[in-house]
Amino acid sequence: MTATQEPEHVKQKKYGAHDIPSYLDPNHIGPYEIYLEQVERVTPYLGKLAYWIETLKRPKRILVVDVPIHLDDGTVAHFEGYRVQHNTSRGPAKGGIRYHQDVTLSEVMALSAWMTIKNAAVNLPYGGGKGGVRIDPRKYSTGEIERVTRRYATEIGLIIGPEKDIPAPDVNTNPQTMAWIMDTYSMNVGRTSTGVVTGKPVALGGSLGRADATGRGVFVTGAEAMKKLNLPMEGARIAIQGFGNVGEAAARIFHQHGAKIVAIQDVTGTIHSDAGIDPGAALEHLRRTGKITEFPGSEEIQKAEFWSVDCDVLIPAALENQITLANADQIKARLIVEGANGPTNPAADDLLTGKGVVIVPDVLANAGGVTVSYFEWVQDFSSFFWTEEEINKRLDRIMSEAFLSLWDVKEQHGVTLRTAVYIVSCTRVLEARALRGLYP
Amino acid sequence: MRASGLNWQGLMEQLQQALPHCDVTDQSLAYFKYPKRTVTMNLPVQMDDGSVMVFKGFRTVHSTARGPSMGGMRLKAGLNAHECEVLAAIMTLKAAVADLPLGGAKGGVDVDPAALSPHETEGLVRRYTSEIVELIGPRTDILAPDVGSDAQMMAWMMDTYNQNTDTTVNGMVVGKPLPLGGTYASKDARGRSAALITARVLQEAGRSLHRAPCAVYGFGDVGRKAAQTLAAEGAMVIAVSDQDGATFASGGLDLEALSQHREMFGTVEGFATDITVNELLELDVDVLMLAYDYGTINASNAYAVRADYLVEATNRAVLPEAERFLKERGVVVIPDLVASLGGAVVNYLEWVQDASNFFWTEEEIEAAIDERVNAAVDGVMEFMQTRDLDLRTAAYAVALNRLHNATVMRGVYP
Repeated sequence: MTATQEPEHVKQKKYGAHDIPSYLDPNHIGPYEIYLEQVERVTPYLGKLAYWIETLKRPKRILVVDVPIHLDDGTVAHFEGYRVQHNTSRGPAKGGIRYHQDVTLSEVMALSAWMTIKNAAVNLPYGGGKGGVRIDPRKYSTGEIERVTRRYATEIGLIIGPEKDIPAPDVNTNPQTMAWIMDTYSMNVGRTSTGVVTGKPVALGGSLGRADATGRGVFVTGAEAMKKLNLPMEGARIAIQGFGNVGEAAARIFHQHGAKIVAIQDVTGTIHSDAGIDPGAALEHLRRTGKITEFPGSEEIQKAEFWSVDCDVLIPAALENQITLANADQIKARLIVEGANGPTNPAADDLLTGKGVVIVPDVLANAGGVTVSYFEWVQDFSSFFWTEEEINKRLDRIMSEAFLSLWDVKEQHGVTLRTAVYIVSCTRVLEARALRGLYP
Repeated sequence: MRASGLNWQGLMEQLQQALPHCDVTDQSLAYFKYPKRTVTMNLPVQMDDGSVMVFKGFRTVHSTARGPSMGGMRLKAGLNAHECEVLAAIMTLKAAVADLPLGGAKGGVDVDPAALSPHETEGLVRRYTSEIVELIGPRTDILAPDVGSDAQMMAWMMDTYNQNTDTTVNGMVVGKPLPLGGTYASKDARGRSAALITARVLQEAGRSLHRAPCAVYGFGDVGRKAAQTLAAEGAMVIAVSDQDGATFASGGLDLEALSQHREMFGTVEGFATDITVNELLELDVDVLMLAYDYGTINASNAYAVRADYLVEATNRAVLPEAERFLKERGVVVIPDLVASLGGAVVNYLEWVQDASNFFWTEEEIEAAIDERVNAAVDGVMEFMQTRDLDLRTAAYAVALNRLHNATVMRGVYP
């Protein structure tokens, strides 16, 4: 019997004193159910704060909007839009806006809740939010997408703002989308408001350091974990899957600090070198030839062999669900730093944890992106912008402090870092809730 | 503990002495003489027994010439509008002495907080906030903890304001808990800098805190930290008092153990030799640190003071009539406008952090406090020395000059 087939009374017991909200189908709760289970699991660690636990299970506010636009052919089309503010106890809601034909309310609810967890894990003064429009952007012209964006921004304009809820790019949205939202919102409120969204182009109040932010966060948390494991950085052997925005930056920064990149895998192939690969030269080679393979001084290996490469640190920075039972037992690394979202499936996670491998979970390892989003918002308040060095210095501080407080909780409770994230985040959110109380 | 009434007239008379050393005109002085506004409100609260009680609340904004007003919110039996106006004016002066871009305010409720349950307190604080929600905000008037109020109440005020305005702004109240946009050093700044400024004033006079006997009146956040800092500077803290009584040890008190004792028993009594609070005020000490509330030293007990230095870690601890008398006897008063600057500065720095939502480390905050407090004390000392004044008169003059400049440049509107 799966969870979704359980009788109603079982479900009520499982999710606390209250029913599943009426706006979710109890038989098909969807992604929000995964989140509810995660909260259930850490409730015993929350002590007296568990009194407030229901607060985490219910989003503060859900707005469903109709988004009508004129299509290029002269007809009118309607799209469903959502904005969910899961929690604002620690600060304004914050989270991306995605455009996808399969977006559902349950998905947006779950994503907004995960933003609450992520923001609290890094100790940013934010709650969590997420938005989405049910549209397949590939089927529409740029003009149509702009009209959808502006109408959607106007509809949710009632509840967003620099001191209320700050959207950011997500699946199928980008700095241009954010520029349209910023412009629409600014026109509607009658003043320039750059801080209403982050992920803007640098010319419109965006922040420097954004391109490298996630990869840099992977490096900072990875380096802190290596200290805990007594793994010296000098000469440490690193294998990286993915050589895009995140993987390339992480490889470059690890290399700069004396580590040795022994393997890189991307869509074009897998290369290996015991002597170490210079990521700068590899990027140059990739740009010139269109592939990572045949890089001088490296040997090409089979795709599956990547997992058994002799290394100290493994960084999956490509896609989700890469480390599975099919390859987990071949992994030689003592440390895995999840640059990508969800690269390790739960069964593989259990197996690796059982072997004593430490996994720095995605919510922490790739939080460099949202941290620089936070810096962008901070800079927008004063319209005074920081240098890239200042941003990197502050990013390093926030990421390493976040890692260290999670590590303490991991040690204290004898749990994985992934569980520690939930314990720390739920504690921080409910601590704020308890201090604020209920009003009126 | 005793506190005599505050007097607007007394404040004005002290100001008079500073006027010959200021650039003020009758017009700019008028802005100081009349507080900008005082709101009086009646606050109904549902009590735990089901009855409804109505409390009197006040909020005075004294001046916004140099920026939004900032000042405490106190819960205290007998509070009245007059008291709020005097204390708000002192906040205006203090912000000006520290050269902060802020004006002064004060407010609170006439209630004995010890007589309320936590639930009743929350109801009262939230009702108070709702009544003035249109008048407060990070750009208009900022509230802070004061006598009888604490960080938890600031959290309730912030939450009430947020719910009423549908924002997550946190800069309309300072002294908040850290997870809600508070700052490091919030509780410690005032006591710490009161002690450091005392050390500095003694040094200028060719004396030292080393082995100097000191007494501390009041052992809340301010008194405790002031006592610890005095001891760290080499002084012997020989007596400490709180609401119940005082304790004394001629060779100096072990402050760490005393704090633990107080945490366990709720009072400093019974730790060493118990004395009365009046006996503490009469001790022959080098420094008497006043860290409770205004009016501690007044006309009726000034004659018995044997300390060489009185430090107003709290506003108006020495009333004007007492100060005149003490001055003749050669007692030096380190006035509130100098001694308690640390509190105003840390509140300002919390507000600055909240404005950008970017938070500093503990080291950064302490360095920023010291930098600003030292610069302010430098300014007052220099003025004092060139004009041969006492510290209080010099502080008034420095503040009034800054207020005058702002008032004149802004002009009269409409």
